[in-house]
Amino acid sequence: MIELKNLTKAFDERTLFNGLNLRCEKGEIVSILGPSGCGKSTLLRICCGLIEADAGERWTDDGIIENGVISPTIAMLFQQPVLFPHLNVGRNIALGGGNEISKNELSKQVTAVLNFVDMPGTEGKNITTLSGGEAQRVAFARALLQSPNVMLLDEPFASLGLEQRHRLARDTRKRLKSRSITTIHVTHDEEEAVIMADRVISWKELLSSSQTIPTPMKEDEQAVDSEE
Amino acid sequence: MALKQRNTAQANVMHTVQWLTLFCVILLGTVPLILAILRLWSVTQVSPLEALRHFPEQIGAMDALRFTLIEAFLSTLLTVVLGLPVAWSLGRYQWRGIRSKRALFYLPFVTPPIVAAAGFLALISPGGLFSSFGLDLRGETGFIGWLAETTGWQHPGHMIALVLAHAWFNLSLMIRFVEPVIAQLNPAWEEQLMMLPKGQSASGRIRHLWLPVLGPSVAVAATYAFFFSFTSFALVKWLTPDFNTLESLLADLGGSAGIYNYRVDTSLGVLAIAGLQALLMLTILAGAGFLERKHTMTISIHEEHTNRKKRGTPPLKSRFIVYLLLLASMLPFVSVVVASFRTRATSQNGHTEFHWTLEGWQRAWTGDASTLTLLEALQNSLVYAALTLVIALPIGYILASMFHRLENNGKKRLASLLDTLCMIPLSASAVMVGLGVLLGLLRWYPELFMYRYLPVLPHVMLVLPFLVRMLRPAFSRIEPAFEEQVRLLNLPPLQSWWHSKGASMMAPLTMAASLCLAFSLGEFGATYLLIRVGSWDSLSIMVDQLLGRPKFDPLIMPTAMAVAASLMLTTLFVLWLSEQLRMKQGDAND
Repeated sequence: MIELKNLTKAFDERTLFNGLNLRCEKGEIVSILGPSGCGKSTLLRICCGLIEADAGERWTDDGIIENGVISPTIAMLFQQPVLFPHLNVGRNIALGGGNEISKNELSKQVTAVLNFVDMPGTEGKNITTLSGGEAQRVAFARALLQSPNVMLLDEPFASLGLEQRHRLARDTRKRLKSRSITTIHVTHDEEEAVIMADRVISWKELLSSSQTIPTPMKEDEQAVDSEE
Repeated sequence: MALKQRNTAQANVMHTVQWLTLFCVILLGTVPLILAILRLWSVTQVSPLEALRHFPEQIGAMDALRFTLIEAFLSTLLTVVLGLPVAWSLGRYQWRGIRSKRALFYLPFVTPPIVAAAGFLALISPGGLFSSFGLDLRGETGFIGWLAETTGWQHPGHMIALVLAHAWFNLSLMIRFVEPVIAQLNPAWEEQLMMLPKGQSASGRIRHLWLPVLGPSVAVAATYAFFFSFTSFALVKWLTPDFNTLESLLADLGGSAGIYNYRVDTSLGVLAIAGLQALLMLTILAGAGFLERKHTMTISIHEEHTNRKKRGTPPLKSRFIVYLLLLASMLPFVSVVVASFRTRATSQNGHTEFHWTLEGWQRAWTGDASTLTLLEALQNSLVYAALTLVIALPIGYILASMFHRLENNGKKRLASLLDTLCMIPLSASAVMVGLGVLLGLLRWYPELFMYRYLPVLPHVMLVLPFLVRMLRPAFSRIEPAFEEQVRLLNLPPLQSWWHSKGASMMAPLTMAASLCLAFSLGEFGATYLLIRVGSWDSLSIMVDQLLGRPKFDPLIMPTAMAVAASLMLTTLFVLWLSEQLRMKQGDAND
């Protein structure tokens, strides 16, 4: 799980949020819906420790995380997938593997995670040849290799076409659910939010910290639950 | 907590290293110059400001100032006239092998000035290409002699040769600054203008589009062309032997300046001339800086590849311009090599003849009583270049990353102020920096004359501003998301640096390294003033010495040309190697 308590952040004279609270349970996917520029991405950057909050706390299952510290158990996907141009697909993904793992083991894990995101056999591929959707899946695969407890998704499908965006959102949800990864997803696309999330919170509601009641479990979860 | 403390400690160490490096660089750049001024002040008992008032009284100073301004103005004009059509043609159309063409046009700019001087001497000397076409720029007979007689213009041939050489040297500046603007300009602007009444004629489009868009970049290129022509030394020394620029006059006077009770007039001359030259150069650089800022504000860029594709292959006129100037650009290089195999002889009927021999190369290889062998001079040059690289490149990297960090943290003014402080050696010419070391350090501590690596100091000072200028934009081009991503991946420090910065910086660092090597190999002005022991001569000093020897020995010219050709080939090899490495890195990244 991840819990944000009384988070406050202001840039110059503009206060983005003041005393923001949010709790996501283990395996839950929460979508935050808000217009561009409202501060959703800043919130995620604070969640993962890339920037410091002015006040407030972050809690995970492992306890409190110090303000501005990056926790290895939190992974993040950016709006534009960040893939290093000097590395091929496999080596980009391998960066997500631990340093203590042997090369062979890491290679096996890369292959497995590529299979998991439906991109088998693409380890040696040049990243410049990937489509937008493929690049995002590679970034997702790398994030998964980190074995995170919490995944932060910063409008990861925003640069894709509508149909592909929704398909990828469905796939991503399925994969996150199968691994029970707690997820905070931010977007300005209502339909995408509904596809992805167990719970959709509007930015306005979040600011007033009056969170929406969890939406009923979707059919695919019921299927997963019944399988388990 | 421990992780955060460790990260903070690492950042603090890095920042301390950056500030210390900056402090040392500013000290290195300013202390010799300040000491030099103090020395001259102490010898002449005249303050630098007062010395400026004495400038017109200095022997040859007003003539040098007049000549400097005229030759720099004419050189700039010719650079623009020749460079603009090339930049236009290259930028507007889809050329096959455009990178190689650009590289060939850039070659003169990175060629050691003494090689350029040797190349032009070979072109204009008897037996050279110009004289074979009846254009005697050296001896000034025929048309040039007639021109001198009828107009009263003193040595027009020498001036024409110098202006041609400067335009050849500076042509790449026009391509560097103007071509990208033409290539990347949004074609919609031109298309829109063509649909409007004021843009239907070519003159209308020039007035309403091309002049406002290209004007600032042409002005920047022209200002730098003026600057480099203004401070040129080797070309002036060898192509216009009867005239002095401020730079060459300084070099002439510098040797006897700064000594108590000896030729105090030369000390006053150096103080006055250097003062005025520094003022003029600062004004030119400030102008260039202003124009560059304006230039960045004006252009709106568009996908270059799409633009070129849209306009198609170059028309015949553009091909003619580009290939003709490309050929002309290569002439001095070819002439140096050809002249190294050409030995002068006098025939039985008293005429001068030329034979193709290897004697020049043989003499260069074995050396003689007063010059080193080619290999010894090459070894000296390579040692100076390697030391310059080892010292300057890390410093350049640290400074560029520091200025980038400050800028990113919103301290743009501080970054720009510190950047300007590091640019001090750039606002002093090579001869002035050499004089700074000579008068500022050696006159106070003569024992430093026996330190053979002394020329490395001005080499580092002179190349550093270029390195910072080269690496700073490269830092800005690094995708900031890489840094965030590696932080999220929790990689070890070295891996973090490599994936966030190192890999992206390899190509610019390789280019910077080649610039360091090429610059040091070809540096002439400062080295000329500082090397006092014959066995420490670099290749460029050896070429200068050989060119300065009496020409009754027919092997002098081919020997000088053989050494110049060796210096040229060494520099070209360094540049070629770096380009190969850069391309290899590109392939690896692909």
